[in-house]
Amino acid sequence: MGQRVGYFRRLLPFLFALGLILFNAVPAYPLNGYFQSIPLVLIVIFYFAVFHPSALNDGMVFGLSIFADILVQSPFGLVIITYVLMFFVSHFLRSYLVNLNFFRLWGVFGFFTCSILSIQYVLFCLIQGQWMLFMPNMIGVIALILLYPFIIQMCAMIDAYVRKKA
Amino acid sequence: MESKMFRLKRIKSQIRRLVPVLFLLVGLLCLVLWKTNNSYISSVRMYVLDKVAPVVDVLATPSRWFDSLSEKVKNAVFVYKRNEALEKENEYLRQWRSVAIQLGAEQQEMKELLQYVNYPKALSRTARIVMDQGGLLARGVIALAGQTDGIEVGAIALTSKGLFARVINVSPHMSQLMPMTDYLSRVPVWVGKDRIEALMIGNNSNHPKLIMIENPSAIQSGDIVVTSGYLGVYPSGLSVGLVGDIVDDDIQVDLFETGEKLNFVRLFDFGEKGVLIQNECACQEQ
Repeated sequence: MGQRVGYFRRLLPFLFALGLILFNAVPAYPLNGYFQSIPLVLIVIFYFAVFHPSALNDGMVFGLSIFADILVQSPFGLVIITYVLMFFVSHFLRSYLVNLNFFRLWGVFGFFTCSILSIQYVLFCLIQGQWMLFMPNMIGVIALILLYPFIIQMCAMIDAYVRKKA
Repeated sequence: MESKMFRLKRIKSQIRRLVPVLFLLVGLLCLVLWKTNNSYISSVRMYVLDKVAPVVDVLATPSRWFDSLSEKVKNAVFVYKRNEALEKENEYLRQWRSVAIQLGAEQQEMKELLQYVNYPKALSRTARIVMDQGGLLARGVIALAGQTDGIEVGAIALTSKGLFARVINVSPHMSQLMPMTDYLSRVPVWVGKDRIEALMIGNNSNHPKLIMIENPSAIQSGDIVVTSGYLGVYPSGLSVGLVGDIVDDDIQVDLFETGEKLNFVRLFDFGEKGVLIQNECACQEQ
């Protein structure tokens, strides 16, 4: 029983991220007329890549990205690149990021999100062979950055639970 | 021995560092595969969606419950005002009722005289929207009706307001809809009373654009937009929206049905596959 609880505890960050992906798929209202599901999972990936990479490792992130990519109607592979890039960059700069205070980290997350989603936008336009409206992308990015404190709080709680000894 | 172990560990850690790069390459490869041949990926997607959609449907229950509750509260608050407006509308519509009956009888008579061939009766199914997965760049709507319900690729999704989407993929129990707002959506339309031909293209917002317009200067804000039936994908005469803002050559359409708060759609199969069949044949040949 204890072993099962321990296993569940280790998987909790992954399950939380999976839940967020599924939650994103629930029919939602548009933001300012632009249909959006905000990729909240990026916050989870960022948090665990910086503070506890073994709880949500690269393999798990890759699995999550494939699942999310299947659910979205966008060109297959775009979400994989976005999630893996977020994990890769955050993990690479981990030693620097881990010492930052909350607001600076929020700023860094905003910068990462803007950069990675811009890459996604450019790739998408290249594949489609035309420039698409940038506004939907922009609104999604702003909403994601604004929701950062709430999701990061949940991540911190999950992380504390995962680290707690059985 | 120890140095060999150490070297092995070092190689292992170096390989471990390369894993994210490998994953990135896989992502890029997937993109290339999707671009070259996405029919296989689409079928895999539909298979997974078929399994996942019931889970999402359960997850959406509280959201639906909250939505209906807020609607009820809103109705209760504005019941007096709404009643007044409805009474006025009813009075106005009563005047038109007799005109409509007369015109209907006349039209029937004309059809009989001309031996007019009606549209074949379309198969229709009502389906619940279970998933509305809008990514930053695309939107995928999943309805709970599939091949087992007689739905095929090319079926049209309508609501009480008008045209909403088209079925682009089906699995045994689900259908994937492409709304008119989607960046890949192309709907041949007629604009206004003069039936000016145009093509409405989606841009992932509530206001698709009109392009390839026969006579752009004749289009005015407020003109009605209906499907023209060209290319044989949509039947003609389905109401789409009204012409919205016109800025130089940029003509926007305000859709009647944008898909907000949408719980159910009616899927109609008019048997119009037109371009779809040609595309499928081309894919098979390739």
